[in-house]
Amino acid sequence: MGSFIRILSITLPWVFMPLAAAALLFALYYFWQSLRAALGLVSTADIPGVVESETRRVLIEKKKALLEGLADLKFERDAGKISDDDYERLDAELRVKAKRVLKLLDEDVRPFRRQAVAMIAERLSSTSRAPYRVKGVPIGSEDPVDGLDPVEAPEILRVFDDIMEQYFGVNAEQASDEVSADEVSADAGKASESAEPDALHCSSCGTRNDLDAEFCKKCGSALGAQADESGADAAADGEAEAGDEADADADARDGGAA
Amino acid sequence: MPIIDIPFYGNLVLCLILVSAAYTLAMSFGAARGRTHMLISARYGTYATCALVGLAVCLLAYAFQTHDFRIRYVARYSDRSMTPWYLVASLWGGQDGSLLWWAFLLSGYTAAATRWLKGRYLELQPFVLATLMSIFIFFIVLMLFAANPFQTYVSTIPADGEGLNPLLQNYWMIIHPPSLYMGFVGWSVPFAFAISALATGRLHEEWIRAARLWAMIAWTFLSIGLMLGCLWSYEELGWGGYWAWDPVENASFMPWLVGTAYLHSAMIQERYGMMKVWNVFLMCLTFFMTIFGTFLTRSGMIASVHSFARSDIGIYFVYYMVFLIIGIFALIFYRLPKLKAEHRIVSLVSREFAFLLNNWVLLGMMVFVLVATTFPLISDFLRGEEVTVGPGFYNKWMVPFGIVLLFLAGIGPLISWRKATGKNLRRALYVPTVFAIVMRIAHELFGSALGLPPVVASDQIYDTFTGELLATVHAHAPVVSSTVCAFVVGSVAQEFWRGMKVRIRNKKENPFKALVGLVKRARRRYGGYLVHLGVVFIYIGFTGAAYDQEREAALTVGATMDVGDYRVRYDGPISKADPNKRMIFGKLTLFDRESGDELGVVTPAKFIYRTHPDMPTTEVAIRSRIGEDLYVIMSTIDPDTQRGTFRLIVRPLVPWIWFGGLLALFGSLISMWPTAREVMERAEQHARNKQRRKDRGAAATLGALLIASSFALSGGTAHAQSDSSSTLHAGTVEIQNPTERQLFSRLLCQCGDCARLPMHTCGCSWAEDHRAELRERLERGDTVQAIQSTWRAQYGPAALAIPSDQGLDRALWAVPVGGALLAIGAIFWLGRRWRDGGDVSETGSASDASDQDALDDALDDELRRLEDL
Repeated sequence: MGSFIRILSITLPWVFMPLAAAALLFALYYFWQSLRAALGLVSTADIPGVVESETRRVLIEKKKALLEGLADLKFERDAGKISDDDYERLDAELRVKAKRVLKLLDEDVRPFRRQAVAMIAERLSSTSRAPYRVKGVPIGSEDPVDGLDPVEAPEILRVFDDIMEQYFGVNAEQASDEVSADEVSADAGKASESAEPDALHCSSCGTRNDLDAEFCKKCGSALGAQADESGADAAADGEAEAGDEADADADARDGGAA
Repeated sequence: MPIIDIPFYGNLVLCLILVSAAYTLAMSFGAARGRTHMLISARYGTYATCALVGLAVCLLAYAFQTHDFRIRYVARYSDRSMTPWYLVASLWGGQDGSLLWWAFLLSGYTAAATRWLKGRYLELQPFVLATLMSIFIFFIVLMLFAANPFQTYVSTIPADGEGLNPLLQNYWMIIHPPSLYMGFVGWSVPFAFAISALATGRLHEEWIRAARLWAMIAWTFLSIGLMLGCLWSYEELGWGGYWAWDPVENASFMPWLVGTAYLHSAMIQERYGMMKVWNVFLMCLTFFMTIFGTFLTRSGMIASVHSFARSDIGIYFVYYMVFLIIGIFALIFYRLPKLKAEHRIVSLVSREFAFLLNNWVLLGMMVFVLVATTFPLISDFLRGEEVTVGPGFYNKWMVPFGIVLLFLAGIGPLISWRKATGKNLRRALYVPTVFAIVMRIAHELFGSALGLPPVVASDQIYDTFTGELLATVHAHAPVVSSTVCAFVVGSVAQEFWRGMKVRIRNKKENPFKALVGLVKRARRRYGGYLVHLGVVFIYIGFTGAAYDQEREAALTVGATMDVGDYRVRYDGPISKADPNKRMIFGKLTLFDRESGDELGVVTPAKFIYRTHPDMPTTEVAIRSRIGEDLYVIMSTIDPDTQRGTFRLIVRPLVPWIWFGGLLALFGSLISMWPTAREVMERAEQHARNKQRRKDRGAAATLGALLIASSFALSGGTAHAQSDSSSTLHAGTVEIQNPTERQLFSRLLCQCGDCARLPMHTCGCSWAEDHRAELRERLERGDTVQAIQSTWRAQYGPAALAIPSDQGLDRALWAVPVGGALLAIGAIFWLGRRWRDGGDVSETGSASDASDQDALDDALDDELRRLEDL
């Protein structure tokens, strides 16, 4: 113990000196960076400040709070803390507020969404797998997609690019390159017609399902045997990844399953 | 002598910090005008400032390790014989260093917060950084102009330092102050969020959400700090208690009270957008109280056993506090129009309103402590009379507050948000009430047999009606407290059970899975309940104080004495020595009084340090068992006759306090852990995917830190050392009857150097002589009041432990109590008015039915997703 302390008393000063030196180096480095940034020499690209407007952020926060309030109210009703009458009244009150917020959010994002949907439609129609019904919305539709989470437009595109990769295994950028290359020969409209018969038909009820569906959206029986193995897997992955964005689609399927 | 001129570089670095902080401040203001590149610059500037503070601390630490006695601070708080660990602890052992240490912890928080802020809350960020920088500037100015840790001696350099106060040379000193400072400094970050919200006008739930994690971290550290303070006091100071209502303790207790109030009321704003002004105010008040507390204890304006070196830093604190008050109020008034509530209280029987009441009690306690702590100053200022407000005053008055608060902790969870109806509330109250009634009956029936009678004797602190009332409340406190504790346990248990039932029913989960799922879905709520449960255990421990048994006796070798269920035999002294100190232990063997079985050996001691021979420290020995502690103090020992005087205290239920503290810590950890939803939300943001791992890392680090400190907290054993002058005097007092105890507890010893202990504990010869005198007077038939007034006439009002219940002295309790009553009246009045005003009627804004249906579906969808998590 004694010798340990002696060793310590010799070594500790030499711990603090390098620490001090390191701190000094850090300080100098950060100063340098700070000055560079102040002079505008550092890229501001990693600060995504401009995308979200203030009202939007406020609305999202409000939505969160209202949703939590609603969930809590329900939980308290289930736990028997609040009477059904009160529950209904308070729930209705909160719902009115929440819907107003949802509507505002919807309106806020509509231009972006329209743009995104248009872009996706354009891109998809120029690949051989079209027509692809993105989340149940026909290509070219101007209506917003229900249940699509309000995220920024670039964000949507990035997510869609991801989905593209998941579903079709094509790199979005490459795909667009291909598109430009094929533009002369391939007519998007024709391609879409030729792809039509590729839709899956359920073996039990005959309902037409999406290409990547695992289960029939009407009767719920498995389509896996018909779909090719890898496609189904990719669809499952994609679903996990896309999560919220694929909601409308997933809902349709859930409804069928139920 | 070291080759590097540390004092020079130290001062240079302090100046650089000032420059750097000012530069960053300027950049932040630039960023606030929407210049993104300036925000980046400010962020780097913040890191640079933090690194510089780290550099300054390393330099000072190096100076300590190399015994650079040119620096006054080093010479005053260390010497060559100290071990390297204590040399590190000396960094915060004295005032100047502790300010630097404060800045260092602030830099840690600031760097962490800046890192955490990357890419979020961009509009708030500039002002968050600016606020933090302004705090840095204050501390650096303070160091540069009033309390410079790098200040050198003007004349001769001492060959050796004065050494650290022996009181501070123990392991508690290494962990207690940093933890408490972490709690104090931590409030700077949420405060910075509050200020940024005010400055930008973004006063909705955003800042509350941003500040949430940081407020919880600060609160947790402050709680750990307070708990460690109690342990330190209990195990080191050797006076037998854990909380003495010393100004320093009060100074750390006040921000805790306000911070706790904030944590509760913030929930209302987060959920329903109410109480915006109140929350901003509470957060600012919490931060203000940390500064005010530091000012109280550091300015030397109020006498305290902690006796920090007095210096002229007080006036700087005054300037800063004035600046804070003006700034905060100006901002709040400026933003008042934006602080309008979005919802109203629906019913007075709702959780929102219960939280309001909780705020009322907590703030009431805070005001009470504040008035009592500053009363000596106020009295001196108003009428030139010094008074003392002893612990007896607080102990008496705080009990009713505490019980009300505990009761609210039990009732709150039972009431639903928005509105609770009579029928449902009655159903919710059923189980906890049964718990409480069973406990009450059990306590009445078996309490006395277990040595925990439901009603205890209590002395009056006043001879007026108030005094009688307080004494009655106090006498019944044990049974009321146990009943309320059972009520809270019942309500928390029911909450868990009901939640589990809903899940078992709705999701068909097994009970264990339901419990885990329940806690996971609402970590903050159920973590909070666990904290409440911890608080219940702490209360149980506090209640135990009513049953203390104390005996003091002088024993010759081989003699025995009895206390509680113990018989103690004195086996003689043992002497030991090491290079730093001489140690004298008294060996005592413990026996069970009834069976005569040997229970073990305890060895309380006196340590005499080489550097401070005039300040022998008392080492208490504590034998801790679940039911009670046996606390043994060796008051004196005669080297010639080997006769020793021992004071033995049986303290029932004390270990429950530490257990409750650990449970509360566990609960707050659960609350702080990022919820699945938060993690998911972040996962949704692809661009910030990496952040998640970092956050988890940060949370894991925090968890590890907290767990480590909890181990430290639980590691308390029977070793303790200490004693300032006060414990030297605590000693051989024998109280013969309750009247005597009542009288002596109201009078303070006037010998001049025992820090004014009450006469029923001070063991000095002056007190002994005067006690004899007083006894004679009592025998002659003088009343307690008469003796008290002669004492007051003779030695002045400051010689009374508790100011009387007359004249201005009455204001001491009347002002806070009156204020509290007014406040509760105002709360009910406001609540009714809000409720009667009703919710602004919400009709759908002219949209067709199909649209509404679609929205309803979307809403249901979102809700389903929320529940699936």
